[in-house]
Amino acid sequence: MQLKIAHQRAPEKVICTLTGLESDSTILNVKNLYAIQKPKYYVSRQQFKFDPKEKALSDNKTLAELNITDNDTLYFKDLGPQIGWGIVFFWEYFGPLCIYPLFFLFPQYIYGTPIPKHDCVVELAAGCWIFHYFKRILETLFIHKFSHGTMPIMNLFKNSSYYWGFAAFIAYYVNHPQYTPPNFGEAQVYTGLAIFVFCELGNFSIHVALSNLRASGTTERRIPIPTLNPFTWLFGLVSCPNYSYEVAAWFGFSLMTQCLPALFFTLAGFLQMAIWAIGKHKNYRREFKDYPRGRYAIIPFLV
Amino acid sequence: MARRPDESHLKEASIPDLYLILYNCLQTVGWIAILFNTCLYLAMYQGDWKSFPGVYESTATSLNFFQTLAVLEVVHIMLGFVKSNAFLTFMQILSRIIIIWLILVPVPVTSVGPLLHIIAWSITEIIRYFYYAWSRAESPPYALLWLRYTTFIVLYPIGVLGEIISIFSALPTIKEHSLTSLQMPNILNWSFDSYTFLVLILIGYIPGFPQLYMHMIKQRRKYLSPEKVKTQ
Repeated sequence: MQLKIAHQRAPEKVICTLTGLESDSTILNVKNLYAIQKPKYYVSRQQFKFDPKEKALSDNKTLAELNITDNDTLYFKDLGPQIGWGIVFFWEYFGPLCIYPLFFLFPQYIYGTPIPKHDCVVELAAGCWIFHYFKRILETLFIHKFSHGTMPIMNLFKNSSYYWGFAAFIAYYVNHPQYTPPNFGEAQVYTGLAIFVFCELGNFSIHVALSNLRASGTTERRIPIPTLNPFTWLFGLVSCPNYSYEVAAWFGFSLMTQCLPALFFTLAGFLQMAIWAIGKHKNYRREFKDYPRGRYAIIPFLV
Repeated sequence: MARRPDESHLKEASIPDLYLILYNCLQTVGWIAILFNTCLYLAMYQGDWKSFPGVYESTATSLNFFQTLAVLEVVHIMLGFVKSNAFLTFMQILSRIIIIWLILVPVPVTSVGPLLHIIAWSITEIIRYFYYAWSRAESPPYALLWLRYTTFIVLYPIGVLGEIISIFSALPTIKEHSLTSLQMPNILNWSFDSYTFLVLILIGYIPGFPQLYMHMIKQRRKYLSPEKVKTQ
């Protein structure tokens, strides 16, 4: 059978015809055929729709499943140049890992005055910061498995400016010569630190659990469930405990340093992660009929 | 193929619907009051046409209240009551809140700026909130839809021009008295300088204005295209 392809923006004009497809061909087969005709649009750059206003068709669906028959028209959308998730993750985390220590190590060039001895909390904060981003990079390299291979190249610049900008913003104030240590002294510092460390371990445990959930080499999705590791028991309450832990970790950091910019970062991160979590939560519920009822998206019993 | 934007019968009203109708009606009334106060100011105005002292003061309480209340709209989106882009909405509301609380409240601006943007804001908001309130109950009449997606063509640039004039005319006073600023050291471990912040906001208008304007043009095309109009 053959399919006509039109551009989503100009649905009347057929740009090319794909031949040699069968009813059990998948959308991925369609994309491969299209990439042969138009090499500029490699597979991950393509998106196809059955109706220009409907959702994109997923790669693993067959034409028969989608009720697409001979001589139907599919609408093509160019997603723009793509870049691998791993590369974006690496650069967005590598920035903060370098920027923060600059403020900590070379205050004389930034504030004009050397700082003979940093406050204990400032040293702890630098340690937490470096630990967090180092952990993120290691996770990107060795743990994460991505269900979508690529993202638009613009995300590299958008995400990096977010992370690099906040890194400089927070580092500037925490390492400032006139930094004021927390009001409640050591009690506050160590409470914040304990929350941070606990939640980093939790976040790491969830990333490992999510990675083990997916057999390597596949993009098959399963319902995430608590494992033997107690940190993962939060899966019993929320769909995205990695985000819950991450937000709580940054709350701990903000409490420890008593620095408003860190709290801004926590809040911005929370809003973004809440949006992602709600989206993922809805997807899980749509995808799995037997998805556990009582789960929330990111905050137990609330959101 | 084309789906109707809205079925034009009365929908079953839910609690969020009722709440939103109430909220949007309240905002409509609020902005009518603001426009009314401003018109009253103009009617009584005796000065020359170069400076307009006291235009903001003539409607300060209502303007501060209703514009600040609009923060709820971001909450509505996040709660899923309204389908829209939370970030764009937040930026739009934030820029106005900055103008009110960092400029109009602390600085007595006498330029034409406040007059321009208060009139542009209030006409836009009356139409917008009235449209939202109506569309929560049933499909609004075409005239209202048309106004909603047409008046911005003129009012949006007038509003932005007014905002820029307001910021520019307030900057010298803000710098001189270092108004609304916070210096290190303090227990928040943060510093804030209203002057620098406002200069950054001014620069932000350069990419921000065309982006939002094009966004509105696209919306206009989407809602007022001939194909959609036929189904009304």
